[in-house]
Amino acid sequence: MNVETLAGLLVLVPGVVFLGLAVTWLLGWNGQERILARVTMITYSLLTLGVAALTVIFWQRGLMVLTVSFGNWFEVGHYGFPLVLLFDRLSLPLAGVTIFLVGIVGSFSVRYLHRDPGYFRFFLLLHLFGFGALLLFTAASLDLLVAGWELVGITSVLLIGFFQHRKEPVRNALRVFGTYRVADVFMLTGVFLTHHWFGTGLWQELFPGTWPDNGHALHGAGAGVVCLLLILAACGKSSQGPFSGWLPRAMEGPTPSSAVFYGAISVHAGAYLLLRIQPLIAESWLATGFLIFVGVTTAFLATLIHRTCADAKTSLAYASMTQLGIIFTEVGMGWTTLALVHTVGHAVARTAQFLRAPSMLHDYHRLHSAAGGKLAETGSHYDSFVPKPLQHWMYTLGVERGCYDALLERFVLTPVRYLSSLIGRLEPADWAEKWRAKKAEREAGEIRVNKSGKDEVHV
Amino acid sequence: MFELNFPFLLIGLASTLVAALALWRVRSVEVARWWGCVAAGFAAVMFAIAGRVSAMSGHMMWDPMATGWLEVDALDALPLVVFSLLTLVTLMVAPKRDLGGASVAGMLLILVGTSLAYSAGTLAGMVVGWWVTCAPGMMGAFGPRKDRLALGIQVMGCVALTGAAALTGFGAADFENSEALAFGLLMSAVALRKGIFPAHSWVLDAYDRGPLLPNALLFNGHLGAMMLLRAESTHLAGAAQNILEWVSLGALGTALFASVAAIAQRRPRRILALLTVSQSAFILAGLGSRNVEGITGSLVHWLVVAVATTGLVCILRAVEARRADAMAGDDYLGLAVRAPRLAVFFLVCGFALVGLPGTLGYCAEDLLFHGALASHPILGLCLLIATALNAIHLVRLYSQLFLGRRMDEVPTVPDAMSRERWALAACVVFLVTAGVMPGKLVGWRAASAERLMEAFQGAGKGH
Repeated sequence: MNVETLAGLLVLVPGVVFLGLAVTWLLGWNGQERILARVTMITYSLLTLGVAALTVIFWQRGLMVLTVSFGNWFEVGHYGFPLVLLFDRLSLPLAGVTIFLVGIVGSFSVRYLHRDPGYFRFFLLLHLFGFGALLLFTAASLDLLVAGWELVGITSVLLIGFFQHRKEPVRNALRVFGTYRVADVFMLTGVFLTHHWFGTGLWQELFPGTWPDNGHALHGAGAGVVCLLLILAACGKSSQGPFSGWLPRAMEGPTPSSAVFYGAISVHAGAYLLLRIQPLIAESWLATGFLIFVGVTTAFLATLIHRTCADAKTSLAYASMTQLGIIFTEVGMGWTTLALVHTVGHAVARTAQFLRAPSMLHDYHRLHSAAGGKLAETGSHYDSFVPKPLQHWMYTLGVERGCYDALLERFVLTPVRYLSSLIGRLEPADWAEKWRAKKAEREAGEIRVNKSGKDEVHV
Repeated sequence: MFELNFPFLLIGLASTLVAALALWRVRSVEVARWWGCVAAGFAAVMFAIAGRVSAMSGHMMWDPMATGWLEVDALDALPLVVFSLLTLVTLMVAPKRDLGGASVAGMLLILVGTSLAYSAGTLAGMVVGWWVTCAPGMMGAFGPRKDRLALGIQVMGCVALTGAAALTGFGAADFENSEALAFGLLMSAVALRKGIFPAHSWVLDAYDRGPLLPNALLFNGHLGAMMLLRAESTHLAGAAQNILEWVSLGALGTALFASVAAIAQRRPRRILALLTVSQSAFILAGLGSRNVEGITGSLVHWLVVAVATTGLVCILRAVEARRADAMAGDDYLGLAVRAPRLAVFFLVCGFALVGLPGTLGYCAEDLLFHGALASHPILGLCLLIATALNAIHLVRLYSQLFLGRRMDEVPTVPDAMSRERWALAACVVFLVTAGVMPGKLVGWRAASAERLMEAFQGAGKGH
């Protein structure tokens, strides 16, 4: 097997497994746990070996970049959708982490979700997520990245609503999907404008050279616009700045999915995109300033909120958000290698924390006993530096979760709903219905026209 | 002039018409369903053979027994087959309560009318096709109609087209020298039939108050788009390009309007109607891009909208047949625990409709947005916003129908029955297989898009 085939298989195998499982289910298979667990474990064990082998080959041969081309997916006139995968010093570590962590989470879930009615659904979506994430990290073009980006988003939303018998997860999944779609508009606009202005979507043509020492071939005002659009898309995916409200809502899903999506892979997709376009960000003081501002403010706010959360998973979600804010700042500062190391380290550590979260009370009690029944409080020496009124204000801000939801409701959702209901009143189909209803009532004698020509209701 | 070696088109149309007339008085639902399916399937086979012969020769081909009247080319070959198969799917999935001899015959007549309008070689043929599609509704084939607004607007569309055709002598004449009135009438006909704002109201009325399945079938013919394409490429020449410009702007407005209007809606039928209107408006908006990518995207999107909305409507009707309270949309129904396959079919059809990856909708929208942004960046941006909102509505509708209830709170209802399962699986397989391997299908549509582009450019020079 040559190196291109190996690299291609690493990405394609989870997709093939997903399709296979989906088709067999449609044909009537009810998804026995044991078979599903074995398929998942064997798949990800082989993929882990595969990615390890690929890393060794890279190291031995001194490879900097490997591209795997499957030709054009479809083509029309001069436009073609290239199916090309790119493995370099940025995508290979992230692909490796994805395979490793999805495998770990899959293995954990075999027992954690034992006899859960959604067992099959979880594993099906986990494989689709694995495929989407690998596609996202190894896509050689913005177009292919969008496909992976959206697959990750869809699986994320479907897993937030995993406990479909409760209304709250379903509502939260819809809210998260709404935020994702808003961010996707920025993403898609950025991608299409890149094609429109620069004539290509391939990373190696947009950012020639090898990461992290590459430059960029985008110039003019268009480059700045594209850069800002992609930063906003990254903010949406990584729950930063104006999009930061969805991450705690996403904790409604089962713990393993929270681990792999919001601790490990999905939330880092935005950081990955920023690392890819970093040469472009570095050129624009506006983009750099915006990115650092968003990163710092989100990190500050998230760390405040994190300290006021009463449950483990929400607390971990805000802790993730804090670290992502710092990673965004690092990218803005141009510290790309540090940001990559931070991303990988954070993904692994946070996954471990999430997976231990269900046993947190047990762990705490054990620690408590080991410490002889008394655990010292932490953080009080920091508190002493902050004046009491400011402490109170910060605490209130944390408890209110930065007033994010209230602001969103007041300035975005309410006006949109109002606009929609206003538009609904213009609907001729409704006028006809109201007119018919009124006519029927009048014929039934419930409404009579009085002398002044107005309707008079007689009950 | 090239001719088919056998009258496939005429036989396909005539056999369907005969079946429709024969079934009108049949009382047994299962007999009517069975023969209706046979007729639709037979028509699909005939049209597929005709399309294959035409594709292999690379030319437009006339039917040997209706030369000058019925033709098949790259533009209509695929829609002819797809529409016949959609009729077959609808007949298979339709609940018993919706079927009877007259309603099966009505659906077959819609198939006859739509196929005639697709394959007509003259404006007169198109006019007849349009009227035939409306005839079952006017004759009460689907029972007493509450959706009078819908019926009225459809008839108005037919009258407008008839007027436009009458002004040009019903032939493949040049519209260039005819009066502005003819253009106005043609534009009105397209806008009324395609449901361009404010005529979109008929779709809302038809879905909400009328018989859902026949109305969806009627709308999914997209005869307005076909009329526009035929007129652009053959009859109207340069001057008619203004029509495309205006209609595509109207379609853009409709796409955005419907997607915003759906936010305030709760009833599943209304949400689905607005979703359908919005997504199908993309077809005309893409045609207005006037480049090969945009037009190919439009033509592929046409197929996606037709197949996906047929799937969604059939599932919604199947759900309504199981749960009467599904029409109100007041609360979550939680049907996924009882009918997981229906839920999956709904989700896949819906994701295809709003263009999510892994489905044909993704390829269609990728091409459509590329084309639209290349010619009108603002237009492309508006389409992106509309599709983002539509995706949210789709997930909301899915949640409302299939999620949010414990198993013990959901009455036992059957999952997809075998006739439903096969029919809906065919839709899903088409959307996913063509989405994973879109090369061939996009290539076919690109061929007709290139011919249309040549016609546009030729017309532009002439103008």
